[in-house]
Amino acid sequence: MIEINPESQVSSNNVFEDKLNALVLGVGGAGGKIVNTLSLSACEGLEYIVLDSDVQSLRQVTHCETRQIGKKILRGFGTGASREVAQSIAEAEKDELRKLVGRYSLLYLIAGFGGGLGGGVAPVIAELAAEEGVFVIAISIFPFFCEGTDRSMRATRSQDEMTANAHLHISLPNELLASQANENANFVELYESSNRMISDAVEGLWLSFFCPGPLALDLGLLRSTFGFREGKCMGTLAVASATGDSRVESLWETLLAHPWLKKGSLLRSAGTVLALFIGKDGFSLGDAEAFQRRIASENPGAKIMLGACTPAEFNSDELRIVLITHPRRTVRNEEKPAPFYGDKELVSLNEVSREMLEKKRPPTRNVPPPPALTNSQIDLLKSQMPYSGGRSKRGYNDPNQGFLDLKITSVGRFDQCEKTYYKNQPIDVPTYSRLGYILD
Amino acid sequence: MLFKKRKQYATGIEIGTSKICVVIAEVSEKCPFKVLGVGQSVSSGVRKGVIFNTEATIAEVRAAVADAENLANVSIGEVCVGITGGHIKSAFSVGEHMLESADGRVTEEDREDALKNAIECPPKEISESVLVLHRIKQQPLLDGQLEEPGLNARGRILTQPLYWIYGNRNQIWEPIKILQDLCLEPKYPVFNGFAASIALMDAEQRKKGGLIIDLGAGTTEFAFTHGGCIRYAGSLSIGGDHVSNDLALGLKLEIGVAENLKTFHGRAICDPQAKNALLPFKTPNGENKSVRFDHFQIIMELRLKEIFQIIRETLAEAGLQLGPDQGVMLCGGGACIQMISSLASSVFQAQSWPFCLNHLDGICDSLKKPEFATPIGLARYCASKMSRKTGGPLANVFSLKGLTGKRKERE
Repeated sequence: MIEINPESQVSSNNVFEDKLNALVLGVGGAGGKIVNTLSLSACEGLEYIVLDSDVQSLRQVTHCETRQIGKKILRGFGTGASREVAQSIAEAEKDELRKLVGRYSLLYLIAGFGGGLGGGVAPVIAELAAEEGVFVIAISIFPFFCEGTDRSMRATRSQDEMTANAHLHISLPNELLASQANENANFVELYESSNRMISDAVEGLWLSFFCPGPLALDLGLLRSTFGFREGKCMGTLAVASATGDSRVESLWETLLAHPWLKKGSLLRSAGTVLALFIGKDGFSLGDAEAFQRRIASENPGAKIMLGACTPAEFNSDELRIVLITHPRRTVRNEEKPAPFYGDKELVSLNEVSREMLEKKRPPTRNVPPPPALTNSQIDLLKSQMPYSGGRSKRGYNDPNQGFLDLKITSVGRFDQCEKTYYKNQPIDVPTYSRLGYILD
Repeated sequence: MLFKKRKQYATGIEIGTSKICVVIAEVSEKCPFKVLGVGQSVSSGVRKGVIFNTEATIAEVRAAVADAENLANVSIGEVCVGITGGHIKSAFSVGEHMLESADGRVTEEDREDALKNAIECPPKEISESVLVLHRIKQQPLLDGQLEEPGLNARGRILTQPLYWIYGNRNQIWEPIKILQDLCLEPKYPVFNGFAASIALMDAEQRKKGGLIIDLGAGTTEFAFTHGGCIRYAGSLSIGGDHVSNDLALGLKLEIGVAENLKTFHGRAICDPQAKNALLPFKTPNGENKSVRFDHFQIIMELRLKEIFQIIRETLAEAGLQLGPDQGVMLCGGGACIQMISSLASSVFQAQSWPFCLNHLDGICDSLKKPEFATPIGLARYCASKMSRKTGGPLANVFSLKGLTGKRKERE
């Protein structure tokens, strides 16, 4: 007979609990307000922290832990809607931020991207957390159009950075919410409905991991589905709930009319659809099948993932769905995307770099161009940059451009003449140089 | 005859990148073409065949003309000027004519009508910004088949292809204006490649066909002839200057030193024995230095080979290829480089004939050098034009199927 040591059992449970923990981090004013609201209905296993530089905003957070950032530089003020200031603060306090987020399994990063701190610090935190192996789900709020072009442009830049850094980035534009609201709806109502949906989504995702139900959905599955570095793009989410016998139909109708799904168009064009059902006794396998068939009929090519959990405190008749859609991933040359944590590609890239570094520089001024990189190597290089895609930004190179060889492409006496080209080749440049002939 | 016919003097002027050359020849009944004088001067205002320093070029042309006139002891008037540069292009047009005769045979009127149609339907590239240098009549087609002149075959449609050589109007006018400033009469602007083919090919070779390549300092002209007429002509803005430039950059030499080494030690194909050998030379300061001989030869070979390859590709894109009995003829300063004929043979996979002007009368041996081919060709073109007016012996000296339809109209 095997005796079980009660102490060892306890300790093993503790180890398990320590590993599966999550942090809901609100960054900046908007993020802080949302997290403050979320913390009112706190889930077990979730920790809530609000990070801000503005003392006044932090004072309004009453239900969860707060952290002040940039204390020495900003002296309790905000960043003045400057992403650059926020980024420099994040760089300065990198180690503290890494320590803050590094001990969790899952990080919900919530920030509004119209201001300075959220858009500047949140992408840096996402990058630090990803480096530490934390799975990052970022939820960003895109400002209303009426808030000005400047804010929109700032938010777009932050979105691009966040998409590159986080594993799953869900962008929620306020404008979509406003487009379906009443003309008389005030800001408070809009924000409340937005916060409620975000709260439901965060809660639903967490419950599906924490309280496994009939259809299991674990963090590993989420990581393997969204945790690719290649071809990343922003997803969106929608939350709906219904009661009664025809609840699947009413859920479906609500989702198709959901503002964040652009009246169902994002669902139809999605590459991956993650549907989390939260219900109790009434939820059956038939409901899940019916829902899956509806999604498949609207979007036949989509990868559909269903999860279901039955939390104890949930209303017995209600069925809630949290739907996360992710656009189709574009992968060049039909190559299989390299996994983020796989190191095979990294090794080959390093080999190329080492070869290039170790190659003896020829004694002439004109050196042949470096060896060309393959598409997968270019993509990997691109994914490792903090900024990828979108408009060009000072300080970052687009690897698709290829290397600018540092050879002196002098054409000697023809410098002042009109250049001669043959099939796009500058034939004034010495032939031996263009052909890569090394005069050793 | 009451009055003895006056002697005429045909002049060809080539304004090249490295030198300006003037050839004066006498045209008379006794001697259809006799070179009387040659004048040369260094050209400093031309790059890649395009004049960029007009003042310098005027002074240099004046010096060359004065030399030639002093030597020939005559005063020149009508001048044929050579045109070159990367702006020279070519295109085809086609004129069709329905045969009207009852028996379906081709008459002279039909030919004239077909030619007229070809002239009236120029290629789309011909616009106001270009100037047409030559319109070269090609062999006509009868119902899509090549018409043999002697067969007197029957058919329905006569097709007359016309080959147009044209260039940028402003750049063609530039040398003409310079000569006008010098009180000369630049009557005939001629493409240099065309002039070289006139000088290098006799009637038999013209009929057989071949490729003429004029390797100049700034540009390389080429003309592909077949069936007695030019089928394709073009100009590349690469030449001997590029070879010198490559040597100067690759071996870290001054451009003058590189030019000298190219002239005296240049070789188009690498010598296996030159591996690791050194080529000694003296700098302008009198210092003794040396460069790797194999590097020197490799740089030259790569550039010259590239020039030939570009010509070969251009011809291939036009659907032309040298036949088994056709070959390559080289002229210009680049033709003096050792083993250049072998390189041309290997690139074009055809025989390469050595440069030869022996078929021409009235030229002393000292002028039978490849660099004089173009100015002599220009002078012969001028002489032919003069003879046509007077019905002299050179009237059909280069019977390239009449060349221009324009002339036909004038006549």
